Amino acid sequence: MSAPGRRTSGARRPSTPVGRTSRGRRRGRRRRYDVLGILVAAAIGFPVYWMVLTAFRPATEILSLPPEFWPSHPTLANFDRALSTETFWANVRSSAVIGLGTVLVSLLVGTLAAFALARFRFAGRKAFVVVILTVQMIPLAALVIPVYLLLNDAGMTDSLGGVIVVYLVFTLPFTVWMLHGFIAAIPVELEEAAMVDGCGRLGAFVRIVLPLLAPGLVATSVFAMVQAWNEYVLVYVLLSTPEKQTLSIWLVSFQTSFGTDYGGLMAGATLTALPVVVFFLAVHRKIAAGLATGAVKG
Amino acid sequence: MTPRPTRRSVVLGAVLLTVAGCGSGGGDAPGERADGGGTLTVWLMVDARESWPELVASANSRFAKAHPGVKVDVQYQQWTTKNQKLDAVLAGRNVPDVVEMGNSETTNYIVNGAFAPLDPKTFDRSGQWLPALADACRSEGRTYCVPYYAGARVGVYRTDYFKSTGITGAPRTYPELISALDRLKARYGAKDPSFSALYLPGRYWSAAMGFVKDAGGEMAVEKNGRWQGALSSPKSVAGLTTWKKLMDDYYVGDRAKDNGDQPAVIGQGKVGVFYGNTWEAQAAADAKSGGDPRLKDKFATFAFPGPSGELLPPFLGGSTLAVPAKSTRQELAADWIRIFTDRESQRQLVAANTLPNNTVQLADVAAGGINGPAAQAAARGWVTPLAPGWTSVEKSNVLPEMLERIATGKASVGDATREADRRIDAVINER
Amino acid sequence: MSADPAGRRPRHLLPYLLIAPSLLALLVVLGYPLVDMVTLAFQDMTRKELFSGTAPPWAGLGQFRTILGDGFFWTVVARTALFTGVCVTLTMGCGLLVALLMRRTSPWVRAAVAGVLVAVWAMPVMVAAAVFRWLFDADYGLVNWLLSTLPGVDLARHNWFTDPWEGFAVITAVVVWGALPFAAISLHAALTQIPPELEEAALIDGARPSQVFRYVTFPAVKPVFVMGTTLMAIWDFGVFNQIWLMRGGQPEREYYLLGVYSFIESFAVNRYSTGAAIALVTVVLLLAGAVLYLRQTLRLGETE
Repeated sequence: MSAPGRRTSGARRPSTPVGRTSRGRRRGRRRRYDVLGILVAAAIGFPVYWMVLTAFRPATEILSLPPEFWPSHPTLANFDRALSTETFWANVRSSAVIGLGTVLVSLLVGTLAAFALARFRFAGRKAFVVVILTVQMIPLAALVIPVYLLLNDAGMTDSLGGVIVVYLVFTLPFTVWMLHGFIAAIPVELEEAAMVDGCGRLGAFVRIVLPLLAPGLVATSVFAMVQAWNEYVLVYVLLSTPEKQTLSIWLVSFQTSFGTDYGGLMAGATLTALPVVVFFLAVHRKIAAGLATGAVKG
Repeated sequence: MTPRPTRRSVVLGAVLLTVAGCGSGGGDAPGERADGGGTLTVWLMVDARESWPELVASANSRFAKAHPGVKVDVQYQQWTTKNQKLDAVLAGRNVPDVVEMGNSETTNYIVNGAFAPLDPKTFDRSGQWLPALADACRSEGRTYCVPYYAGARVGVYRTDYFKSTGITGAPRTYPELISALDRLKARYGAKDPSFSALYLPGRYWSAAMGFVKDAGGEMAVEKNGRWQGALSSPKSVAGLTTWKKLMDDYYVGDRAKDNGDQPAVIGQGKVGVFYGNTWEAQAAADAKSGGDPRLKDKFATFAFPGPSGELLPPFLGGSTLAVPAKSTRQELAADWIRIFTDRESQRQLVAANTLPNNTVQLADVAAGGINGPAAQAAARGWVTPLAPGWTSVEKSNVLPEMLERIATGKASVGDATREADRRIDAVINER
Repeated sequence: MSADPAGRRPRHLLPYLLIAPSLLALLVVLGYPLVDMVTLAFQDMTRKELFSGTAPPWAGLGQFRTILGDGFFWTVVARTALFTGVCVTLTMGCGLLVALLMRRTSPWVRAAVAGVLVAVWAMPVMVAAAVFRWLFDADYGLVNWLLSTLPGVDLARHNWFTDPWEGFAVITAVVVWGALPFAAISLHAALTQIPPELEEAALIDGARPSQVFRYVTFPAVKPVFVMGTTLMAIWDFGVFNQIWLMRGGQPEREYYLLGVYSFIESFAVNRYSTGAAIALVTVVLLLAGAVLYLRQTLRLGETE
């Protein structure tokens, strides 16, 4: 099937207002949809609100019944406690290095493979696609010990590089899959024209494909980022130095055998989620356009 | 480096390194040395960081004097995820040199050869180690770990509630306890349907097992070298029946819970008496554990009387320290443990409101202090069965699930215990 | 999926060079542990062999015979399949509804919904589980309190996890809620690619809204929908974190799904080989499911 305009739609603005005819009736209906939209957003967002609310609440009010929906005595004590953890800033750094490292490497390696999938037919192509899909089916927990032993043999336990390599393989399948869709959506004629003009294949790729691929790269990177930022089972086993551990492990430390510091946990979680949300909002437009084309060409 | 016959070839390791070299320029590989250079790696649980950081610091500085040039790297672990990490790490080469183990976890590791034997005679006061901890360290006549600290559960009550209800002091006998609970229930429970005179959630297994022990029952017994579950024995059933009655009478909260949120719930002020570690009274008044700082100094402890007329035998929780068999610096490791558990260190532990690892210093715990009742109760303390598969029993939640079924009325005590015994029998002899 | 029709004639080596880094990374970092796992499933590994590094004894098909002959295992399989089906259906269904709704609202409302979805996506699963556990807490939970304000309902101190059906309803809510952003955002993105004129034209031609959806809108988002469903099914079938965390690290047997079962066998009971065998069977089941599913979709729709 082929809908016109899909092929070049990567750069298209995502939202064209629906129809301009019969405006009056439309507006009434739209208002109803707006109300519904707000209700849906409120329902979906409630747990997030509850997290932030708890973060600003004094410990004594956290388990109150009947519950309060508004912080009557807002406090920063929870954030204070969370930020005063010895290793906090080291953990931020480590999360950033692992997150960015995973994203960059998986984009680099993934783009190459995606380009091959999108632009070439070669023996074994199908097999490669099957591998990419199958890899995601393996339960992670079953691999904890084997992966640890592998890194141990390579002398890469307790190193951020080792974690990046491991995360790489868990994000790579999705990355290749998505990027291959984006590249396929870029008309091959553009590349050919550039090559006729004397660019090599590499030159054509760098000058033509890469700029057009930008939204796709951004959209894909978000997914890899979220995975790397929030994972904690593998990373806990792979890293032992407290300073090298990531924010997700830091969060677990709010639950001790002395009880759970819910206020601190929620404050910490709010802080942890913040960079991801900011990153998301910054690139939000591109993600929307990106996800669509990437998937459509699957 | 130990030869590793079954594990993968060097070639693949090299390939991996090249792959890593392709992109992960940001990794901090330099400085990673397989044997840790001049470093002694010690795994302690987070409790040390929370409650006795001074002890760790002073032991390390004494160790540094004895062994200048050796750096001690203390890494704090979480109880929930430690063993999974330990399993992976022990299978590899870069093992820590000292690990802290819960006393109910050690047996399985010892029988599977994870730890190096130690000479108990070289450790301070090893002759007076608390039997409950020392037994967990012994196997076939050898010692594989060193007791570190103990914890015994006691009764904790709200002094202000007791006063306003006209109860003069801590209950000393079981009938006194029951009458105090009745008065609390009448006074506060009538007004507030969510007030529990006694906080006793269903899955809180070490409390329930105290009643089993008090009635003369057992969790499991060894017969001719084979372990088998003993929860459905008449004595055990009697103990659990008493426990259930206490819960029916005085606990109104959710029965399917364990005591994980105990400090937070008690911090809400809806509990008159609870059974727990002494530090839980402090935790209930500490925002860090979800408690309420305004409750500071409103708790006192007492030795919890059992229905049998004796003190309710408390589960002796505690920790031990072991040296992994694969450690390359076993002598240094043992020396660090020696310093970390000697009488000076134990004195600091006692000062941090924790029970020491030996009976001599147990006597130093001030009888009138918050830990006095715990020291008193510790004499009747018990530990989980020292069977090779007991860790599996604990990890597969046989006890909490059985208790929940009893507590919520899903099954009778008899049915639930018989089922639990079957599940225990299935794994308890497995290494 | 087909190769780009405009694709170039193969240069003999280039494509292989391009996929080499990916393949190598997968082979080494994942392939090797995978071989380890498969080997393990045919052995009988206990902690003794694990710690000492000696080779565990071979067990042949013993592990599989034990597992496959155990009624409980099949209960877990059935439970996992049901759970996956419900979660995937709900996620994709709700995702599609939210996406359709986003298309019809004003831009600012759309931005608000997108912002909320993004915040949900960014919330670590551990924290999400903590919040939900708490909202559904028997003693202090908001849900019990809210429901009890309805006339004739008294859910004070009602424990949602005593009855596994109710418990799984809560767990499903967490899983669906967490996956909703991915589904809704990608479906919405796909919807925006449909030229509005297409739907307009269909409406003007007298098609009912349901027909427009069926013949115009849905076919256009179908590829995204199929991809999303496939990925969701794979992820939900192996779900572990949500159950583990919602049950406080001590899931009851009624709450075992394949992922949890495999983990418990490995790390709690220390039957590493049984755990590996379960994991292996999980992958095989998933592959079988994937093949069936793909054949079905290929037969139903036109080949993509």
